[in-house]
Amino acid sequence: MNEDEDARLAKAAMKSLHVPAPESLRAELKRLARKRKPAPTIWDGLREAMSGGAWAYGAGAAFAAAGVGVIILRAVPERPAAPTVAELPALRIEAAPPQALADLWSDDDGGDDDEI
Amino acid sequence: MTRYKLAVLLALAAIPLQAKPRAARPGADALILKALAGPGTGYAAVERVQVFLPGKKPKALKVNVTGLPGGRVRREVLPPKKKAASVIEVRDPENPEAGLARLRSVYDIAVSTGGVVAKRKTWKLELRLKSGALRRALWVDRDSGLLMKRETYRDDGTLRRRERIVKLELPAPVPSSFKAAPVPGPWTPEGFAFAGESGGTRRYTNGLENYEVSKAGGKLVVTGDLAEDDAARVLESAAR
Repeated sequence: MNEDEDARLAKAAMKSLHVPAPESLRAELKRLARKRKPAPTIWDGLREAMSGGAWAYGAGAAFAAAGVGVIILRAVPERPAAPTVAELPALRIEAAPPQALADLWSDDDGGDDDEI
Repeated sequence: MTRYKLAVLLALAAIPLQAKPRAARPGADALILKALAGPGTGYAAVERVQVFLPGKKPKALKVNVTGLPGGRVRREVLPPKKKAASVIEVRDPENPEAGLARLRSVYDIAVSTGGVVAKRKTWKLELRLKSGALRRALWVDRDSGLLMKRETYRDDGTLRRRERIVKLELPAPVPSSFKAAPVPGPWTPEGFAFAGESGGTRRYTNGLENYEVSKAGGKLVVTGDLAEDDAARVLESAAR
């Protein structure tokens, strides 16, 4: 228990006993109040948070690396997927065998609509 | 008559003046000439061709159509399976007057309002045989003259074939790589190719429908799945 708490406890005890605090106790309380460090402002708190320890440097470096990675990935063009089946070159109709023409047809629903 | 009634009557009478004037229906010949000439600009379209065989499931194929400004058309039929090859056909337009003369020799033609095809307003042409049977119906774009849809019917009136543009960009830039010219030879309807010859009979197919050109009694004869105007053009071309 430090002297600050001692003085405040003493004052509280006297108040509960309805005894006026002696002049020396009041003077001591005032001295302690002056000595007490003021609460840090919001800017001081922010500055303290930003100038963190070693862990903060690590987190910052990881964040920057992730950002650079995202930029590089977006800049590199996506490579088309390798075709699983080789597409054949187009045929001129004059050279197309009847089977190639037959292969062009597929079953249909017979509908009469535009393509969406 | 009260003043109020008079005001209402005048307002009602003014409504037709506000309405858009209805487009004048063109003559059949002018419309066919416009359709045969095609649009003056390049275009890109997707066409679906459907064939309705009696008692069977309909069959279809999809064609990427590119119209070049001079009237040449490049048709690329896309295979339904990726491992198959697409088939390319390049065709030049026929002289519109010659095409009209042939259609007139085979059909009676009437024009009516055609509705909308691929977001384009159309005129409808009905081509009837001299017997009165409807053989073909054509839907022609009112602005450009592009043939948007064509249906062919059997003698009993059932639908045999439908060719329809399902997606259209007009005008559209034409890729500079599309330079191939048509291969000279006898004319065939779109999608048909020579399939073989035996005993003086030449056979043509589109993989689903067939026709043959043969000689009978010293005259060329066409038999098979063709409408009368196509058969007449095949004969004209084969006789040359």
